[in-house]
Amino acid sequence: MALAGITGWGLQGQKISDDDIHPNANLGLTKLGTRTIWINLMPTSAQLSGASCVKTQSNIFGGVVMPDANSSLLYFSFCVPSEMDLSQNCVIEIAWVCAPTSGAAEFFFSLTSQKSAGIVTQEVGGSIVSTAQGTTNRLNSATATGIPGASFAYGDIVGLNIYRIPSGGSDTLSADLKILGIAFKYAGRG
Amino acid sequence: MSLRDTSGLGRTGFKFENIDFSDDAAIAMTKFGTRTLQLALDPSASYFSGTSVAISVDSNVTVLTLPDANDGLMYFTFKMPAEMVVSGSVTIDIYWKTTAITGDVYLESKICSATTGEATTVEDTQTTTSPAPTTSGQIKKSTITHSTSIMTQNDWIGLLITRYPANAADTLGADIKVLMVVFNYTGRA
Repeated sequence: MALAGITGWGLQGQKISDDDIHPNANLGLTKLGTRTIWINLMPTSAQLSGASCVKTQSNIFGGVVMPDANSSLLYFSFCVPSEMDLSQNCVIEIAWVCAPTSGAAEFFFSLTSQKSAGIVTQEVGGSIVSTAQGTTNRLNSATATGIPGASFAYGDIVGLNIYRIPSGGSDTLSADLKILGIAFKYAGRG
Repeated sequence: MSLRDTSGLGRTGFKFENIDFSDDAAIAMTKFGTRTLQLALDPSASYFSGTSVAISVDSNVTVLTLPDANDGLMYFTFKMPAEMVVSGSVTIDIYWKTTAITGDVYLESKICSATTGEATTVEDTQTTTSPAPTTSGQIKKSTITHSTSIMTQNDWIGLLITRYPANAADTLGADIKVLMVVFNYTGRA
């Protein structure tokens, strides 16, 4: 005799009664829950656009310069993993450093997500204002949260554009900055 | 009454008996064990520096040349996986090839694990010396080990791989071409 109601065992907290278990039955377990997964998008691998937007390094970290003199843009592409939980929100995190110890940088982002026969249009966009650290070249983190997983579908090709417009009113950092890392966080199956 | 011998339930194929369960017992499942995971770091996607350090193609593979004439450097940045098990060590595998069949290559790895507000300076430096393959053009793997004691899940990792051909330990008289750098870590199952 097999376990009774075996389709119900994937639910955490499911109650088991003696009658459900055959003596010496083998029990197969289904993985539950989700886990946090990061897709690393190295700025040094991006398509770069804008004068003086070039590869560089800060100490032993590779990165890209986003100048203060003009706009600069980084473009990435990746696929939506089949194990992504589309019901949960995603996060974009940008690691950056700068010499000044005051002021703030504003990063804009634009996400597209389409598959074959789809038309590429923006799914999600926005900006993040991130304040400089009080010590030169300390690591900063600019984080965009609440990006709906429902914006994506399995197998979609995602286009991500991260850009800086230093002439914008919220960008008060009067210097070049260096983007060291960009990561896209999603919830994967457990 | 709770489940009997709960600690044994993580073994695949473990057999349950009726007496293991009380009526209306609730069961929660936790994953056990770890696995080795790899993060591939493409040298051509790094920030690289040094005279004659350049991208080329070798037998369909994109490679980065680290010359014999001067230092060659590769800088990588990536986010430490959330599921990393911070215990023991991580290894950096550097896959390379060369035309020489004698001599040794001296490679250095510098690493930093930082979070918001922290410095991005070197926290650990390790080196390795690897002999040339005995067949010209054969792929060689050099491995460098770092302790995880400086690392935390979700940190940003800076990694600098350098060849120092002027070092006394580097006796290989030719350029090398780096095919791939792989960061090996322990993740939860």
